[in-house]
Amino acid sequence: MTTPKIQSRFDIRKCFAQGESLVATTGMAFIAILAFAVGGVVWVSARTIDDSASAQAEEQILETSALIASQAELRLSDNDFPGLRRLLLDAVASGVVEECEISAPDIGVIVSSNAAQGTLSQMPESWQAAPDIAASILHNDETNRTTIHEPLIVNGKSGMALKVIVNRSLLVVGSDSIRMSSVIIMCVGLILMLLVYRRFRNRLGALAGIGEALRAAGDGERRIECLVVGERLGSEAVIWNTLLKEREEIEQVVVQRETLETLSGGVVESVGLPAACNTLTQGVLLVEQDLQVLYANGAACVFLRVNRQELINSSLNKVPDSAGIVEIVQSMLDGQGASRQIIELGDVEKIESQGAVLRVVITRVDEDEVPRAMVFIEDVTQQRLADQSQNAFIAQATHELRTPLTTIRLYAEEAVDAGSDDEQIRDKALNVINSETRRLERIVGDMLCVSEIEAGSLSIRSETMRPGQLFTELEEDYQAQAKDKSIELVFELPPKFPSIMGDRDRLGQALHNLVGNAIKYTPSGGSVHVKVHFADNNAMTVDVVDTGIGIEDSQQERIFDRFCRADDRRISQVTGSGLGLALARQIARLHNGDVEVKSEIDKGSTFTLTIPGTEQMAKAA
Amino acid sequence: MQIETNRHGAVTVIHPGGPVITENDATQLKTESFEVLGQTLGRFIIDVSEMTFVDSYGLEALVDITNELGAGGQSLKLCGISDTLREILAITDLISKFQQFEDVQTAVRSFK
Repeated sequence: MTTPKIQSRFDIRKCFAQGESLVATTGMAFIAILAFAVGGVVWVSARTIDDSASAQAEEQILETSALIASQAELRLSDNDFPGLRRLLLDAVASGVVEECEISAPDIGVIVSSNAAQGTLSQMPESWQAAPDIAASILHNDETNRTTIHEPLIVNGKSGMALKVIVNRSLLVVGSDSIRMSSVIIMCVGLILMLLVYRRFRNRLGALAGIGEALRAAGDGERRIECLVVGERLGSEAVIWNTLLKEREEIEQVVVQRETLETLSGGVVESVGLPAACNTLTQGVLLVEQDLQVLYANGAACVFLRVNRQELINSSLNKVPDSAGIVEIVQSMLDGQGASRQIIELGDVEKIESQGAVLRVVITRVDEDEVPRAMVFIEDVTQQRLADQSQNAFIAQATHELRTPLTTIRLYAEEAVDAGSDDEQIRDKALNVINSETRRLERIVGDMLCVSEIEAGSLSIRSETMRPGQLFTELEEDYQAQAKDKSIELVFELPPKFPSIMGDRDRLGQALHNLVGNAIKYTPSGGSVHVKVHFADNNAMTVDVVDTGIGIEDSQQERIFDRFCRADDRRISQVTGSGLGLALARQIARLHNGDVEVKSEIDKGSTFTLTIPGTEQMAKAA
Repeated sequence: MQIETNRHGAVTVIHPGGPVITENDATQLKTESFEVLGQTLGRFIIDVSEMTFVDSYGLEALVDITNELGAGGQSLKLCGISDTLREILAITDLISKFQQFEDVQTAVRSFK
């Protein structure tokens, strides 16, 4: 930006406001030049007219005097004095000649237009000849008179002369009147011009002011206060100032956008549909026939792992991760295939290397007969993994349900076969059937719980309860199973159970899952300890400590996911729904408690269920 | 600062092991997050249950990460926010820039 030059000299423009300086000085200069030019022309014209008129007057005087002289010579030769006098009087009467007389040097005035002079009535007999008398013209500028002396030859004798006095003012039409007229016309013209100037001064002032502002802007001036024009100069000035304000506002918007762009480090589309599309988590691409990408939102660039500036207006072919899309888009734009196609890129089994499973919907969109393709990209990795887990769960659940059902059927048949003959076999069969039925009940209960969690409707019926009975039943339920596996199952219970707030059935379900899991994943010869503690505020802590196979650190949080089991080859032969721990944690959290795990590979795991005390639960509620 | 990363299905959980109170901590968190972002296309959450405090470096790192996700129409998912961290985010008027979840499971489920 350049600063205005400092002028030390006097500048008349400073005496005027912006917008007026140029107009005022230009107007004044124009009027002065015009007045000078008109004055000069008038002066030259008048001078020329004067000269021309003088020359014509002199010529006329000479012709008149020559005519009078020739007529006078004729009349003098004829001695016709009356005719001569009449000639002189007629000459004076014509208005051109003021006075006219004929004289001789020795006689004096012979005949004159003035009646008081020249009293002779006939020709003198003699007069003194004067052959050296010459014609002459004398001008008297003071009186504006011209006196002409014309020698006469009468009867072949010289000596007489004609004197003619002419009033020049009567001959020369006054150039003064021309001057005066011109001056008057010029003054009237100038007055009219001033009136017109006053009328258009404001408008011209606005235009001149805008011109000055443009020149200043050309010199780098950007401050709006230096570029505005006085609004009293008219509508043009108001419009100019409005444009300046709008430009400043646009500049501010541009600066804001640039600032946002700089802060975000990328392209910012702050308004309209593009901005809205940019907030989508689904990728959106608009591709033209030559595979040129007309639009791509941020999510599309993330999914295609490409910079947005590089993608827009370039060919989709250049994007390495778009190979699967390009082929379909190309065939669709060529008019082949369906107008809507859906593909999935990536394999859920190869998430580690591929990063994601992308669902791509490609739709042909014709606009003004120009074929284009809209490409929608969605990350469905998590859904596909969930589908996979759910499918595994269904297979596992089917197996889980079939196992107790088969056992029940076999033992029922055995009991029927034994009849009343062998009570021992029948009792054993009934016990197994009873146990398997309860197992079946738990599995079905877990499944129902899962569906309630999915629906968000899993809830607890919180009531005051003493959990002692719960642990007694738990011990009874699992003691036989532990014995079968040669696992030592020990319940370390407090001598007295305080009352707690909770849902007895749900807590029983959670504890069953924890103890059942511990026995399931503990090899023969191991042990499972269930330790129950109560804090002063009656908060209950249940530690289920096993000497099982243990869980890797990376899997310790994952095992609480629904339908998920630890990714461990050692448990491939162990059946399980992948729901137990998820349900246990969900139930604990519904009681404002939690289930946490600490584990070491091949050493065992400790699952800790905590249920807050009655007061804490009441506060939480 | 120790930062653990765990996979929950297709979702990666970044678990900073303590408060982010130095430039190094913030840079480490940002680097780890950007790396995971590139690998998972944004399917990650930050478990801030042990990030009990953040200074300006930490806040800047969190904002940078959510801005980077914002380019793809996403925002950073935080779970296990402590009261102190929540207050810091609220005072600095940044809380709306993040999605908050009670626990990891809920946050992971939000990707479905």
